[in-house]
Amino acid sequence: MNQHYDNFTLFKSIAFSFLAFFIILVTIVIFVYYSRKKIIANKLRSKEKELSIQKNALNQVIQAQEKERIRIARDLHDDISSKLNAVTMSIHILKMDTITKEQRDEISTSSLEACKMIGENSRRIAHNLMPPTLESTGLDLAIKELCIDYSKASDLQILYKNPMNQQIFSTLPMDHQIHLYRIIQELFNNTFKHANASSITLTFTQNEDGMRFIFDDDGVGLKKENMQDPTGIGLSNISSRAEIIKAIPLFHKSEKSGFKFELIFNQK
Amino acid sequence: MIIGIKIFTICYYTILISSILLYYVTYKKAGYEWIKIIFYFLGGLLIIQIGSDGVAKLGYNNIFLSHIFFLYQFIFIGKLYLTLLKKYKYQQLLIKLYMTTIMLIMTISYLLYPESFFRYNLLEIILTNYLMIIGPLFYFYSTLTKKRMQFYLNIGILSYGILSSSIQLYLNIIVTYKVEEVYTLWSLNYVITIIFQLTILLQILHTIYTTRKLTYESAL
Repeated sequence: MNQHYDNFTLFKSIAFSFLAFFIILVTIVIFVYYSRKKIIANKLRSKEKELSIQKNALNQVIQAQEKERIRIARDLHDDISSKLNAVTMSIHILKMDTITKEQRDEISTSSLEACKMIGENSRRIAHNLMPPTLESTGLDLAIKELCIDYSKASDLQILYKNPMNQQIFSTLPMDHQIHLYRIIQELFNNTFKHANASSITLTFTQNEDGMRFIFDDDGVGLKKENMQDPTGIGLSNISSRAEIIKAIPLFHKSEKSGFKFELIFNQK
Repeated sequence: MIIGIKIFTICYYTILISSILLYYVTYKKAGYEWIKIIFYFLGGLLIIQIGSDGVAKLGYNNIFLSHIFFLYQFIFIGKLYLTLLKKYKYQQLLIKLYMTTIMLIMTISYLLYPESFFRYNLLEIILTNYLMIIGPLFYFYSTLTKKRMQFYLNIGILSYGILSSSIQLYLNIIVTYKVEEVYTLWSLNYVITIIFQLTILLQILHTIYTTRKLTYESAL
């Protein structure tokens, strides 16, 4: 009877222990199952978000392309086409027998001037589309050229600091260099049009983590709400291009109380 | 064996008192609710441990203090998870439900059988330790994609919950036949308790480090 009681106690102990172990095991299995489910859902959500950002960036690029096409068409119409019409008319007049020698000389001179202008304008348009310096000698010189062009066109004091010169961009693919060039062009345009600034500083540095580009001016600066969410076409264009080259754009208030833009790119 | 127990006791008291001091200082500085709960929990543990050692030295049965310890631990661990999972209503509700149910079961069982308060109660140990398994699992699930501030504490509670429950369950099976193994397993339980206390200490050291880092960065 006593032996039977001991066996029953042991059986009860084993059954209870197994049941408790089983419950602990089931709890852990449920946790692992739901955690995996949550991780997958989270990954999906972040992929969707990434996709939406990419879509947005693509949209911005298409919009920028359309804007650029309109600008090129306007430049061609205003600077090339109209002058070519004037030259055509002058040639027709030159073919007439009724004009005097003085008139002929005057028309020839003005036509030559117009041809020169057409040449210069077409060079400028081509340069705006893709600066030849960028492809032939690299981004460093193209930026220097851009600085010279903008300082000539305005009273802006432009300081370009890049101690490593072209070497800093040597690991950047060509398409990334073009986007970087366009970002700088857009920044110059913004300062030129809206900032009312007197000086601009461009700085390129490199450290172990990657490269850093800082653009700051002493103009009126950005409004606080635009710093958090740059919604203007120019600024969103900069953000889209930064997104394409996998860079981090940061908009701040400058130490000179103007506008400061920071770009961290080519991260390792 | 006696020397081993003495070493364990010294280690246990040293870690426990250091943790109490550090938790108190950090709570005064940072003011986190969860640190306050752990501080009171550790303070209670110290009192129970001193009481238990005192009663044993006087030659009385101190098993009733183990029931107080398990119920006290159960309430404080529950309170800790109700604080840590404040933002997660569903998990909080489950913990509240579990705590209420267990408290009801324990109260009724001790009211019906008061003599069981002076006996070893495996069901009570398992039911109260189970909260030390589901609590950290809820915490890890809820903070799966977030930064975990109380990582060490939760790892400590979870491993203690699982290991301690396993030892108690195994003891329950072998106690009838292999009495000599009971002491080995019981000393293993001491080791687990020390590890649990160490993770609590590690957690507060980590919190002090991260709080200092944050203060330093915000000062910059």
